[in-house]
Amino acid sequence: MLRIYRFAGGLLGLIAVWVAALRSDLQPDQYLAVLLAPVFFLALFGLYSVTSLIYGVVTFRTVPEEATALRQDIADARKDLQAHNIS
Amino acid sequence: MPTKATYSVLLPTYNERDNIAIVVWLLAKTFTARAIEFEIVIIDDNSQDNTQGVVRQLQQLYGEDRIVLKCRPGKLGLGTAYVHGLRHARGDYVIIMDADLSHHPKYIPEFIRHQQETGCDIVTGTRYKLQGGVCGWNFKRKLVSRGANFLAQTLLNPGVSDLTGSFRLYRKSVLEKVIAGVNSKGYAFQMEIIVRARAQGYSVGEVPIVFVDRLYGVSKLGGAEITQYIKGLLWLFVTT
Repeated sequence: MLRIYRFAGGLLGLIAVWVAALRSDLQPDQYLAVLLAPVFFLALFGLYSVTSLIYGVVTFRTVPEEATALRQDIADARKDLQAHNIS
Repeated sequence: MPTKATYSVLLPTYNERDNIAIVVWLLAKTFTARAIEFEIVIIDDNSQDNTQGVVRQLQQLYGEDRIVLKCRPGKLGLGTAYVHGLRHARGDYVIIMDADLSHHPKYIPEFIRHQQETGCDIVTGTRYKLQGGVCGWNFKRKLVSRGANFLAQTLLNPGVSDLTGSFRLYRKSVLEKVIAGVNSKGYAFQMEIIVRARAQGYSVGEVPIVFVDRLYGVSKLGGAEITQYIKGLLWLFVTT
C-alpha cells in the first residue's frame, strides 16, 4: 500500500478517536484537555524535532585527519602520474 | 578478500580535469592491491577543460579495457549518465561515487566486504552513523544536512541513516531495474533510488565513510538545490 494511503488511514483513525472522545461524557476541564491534545502532541513533536536536530549537528563527526590523508594521497598520485607523463 | 566478481566504477564527469587522474590512480591502486577485477567507466558531458584528453592519457597508462570513456554532447543530467554508463559496464557490481575526491576509493573494499558478508543488493556509505563523518563542513552546512536527513527519515522512514549520499555499491542488475523508474533530479535522485529499491524488495546495507568536502573549489548548495530537494521528498512521500 502506498505510504500516503497508510498515512491518511492512520490520520483518519486518530481523528475518529479524537472526535469520539470529544462526544463522550466529559467534564469541562477534561473536554478542554482532549480538545487541546492534538496541539500538545504537535508541540511535543516539534520539540523532539528541534532537539534531534541540534543533537545531530553537535554530534556530527568531523574528521580533519581525512583531509590530511587525502592531501598526502593527492601528492603521491601526482608524483606517480607525472612520472608517467600524465598532466 | 578473494572474489571473482568484476566491479565497474561509474564516474560521471564535467570539468574534472584536476581530479580525474587522481581519482583513477587511487581507484586503480585500491583494486590492484587486492587483486580485484575492475573497470572505470567515465561518462563525460562534453567538458570544456580537456577532461577527455586527460582520460585518454589514462587509457594509455591503464589500458582501454580498464578505462572506458563514454562522451555525451552536453550536460544531460546524472540519472541519464548512470543509465548510459550502465549500458557499457561489464561488471557484476557497479560503484557510483563523486569524481571530485570527496569520496575516497579506499572505502570501496569495505563496501565489497560488507556486500559479500551480508549478500545485500546495495551498500550505501553513511556519514551519519558508526565511524562515518565529514570534513570541511561548518555548523550551517551540518545543520542543513541533518535537517534534510531528518525530514527524509520522518517522511520516508527509509531504513538507512544517510539517504542523500552518493557513494554506493549496487548489484548491476538491481541498479538497472530500479533506475528505470526513477525521475527525480539533484539530491532527491539518490534518495529515490534507495526508496524505490526497498519498495521493490531489495536489501540495503550501510558502511561508514568520511566525506571530504571539496578541498579545492566550492560545492553547490543554494536555495535552488534545497527547494528541489523538498519537492523531490514530497513527491516521493506521495508516490511510494
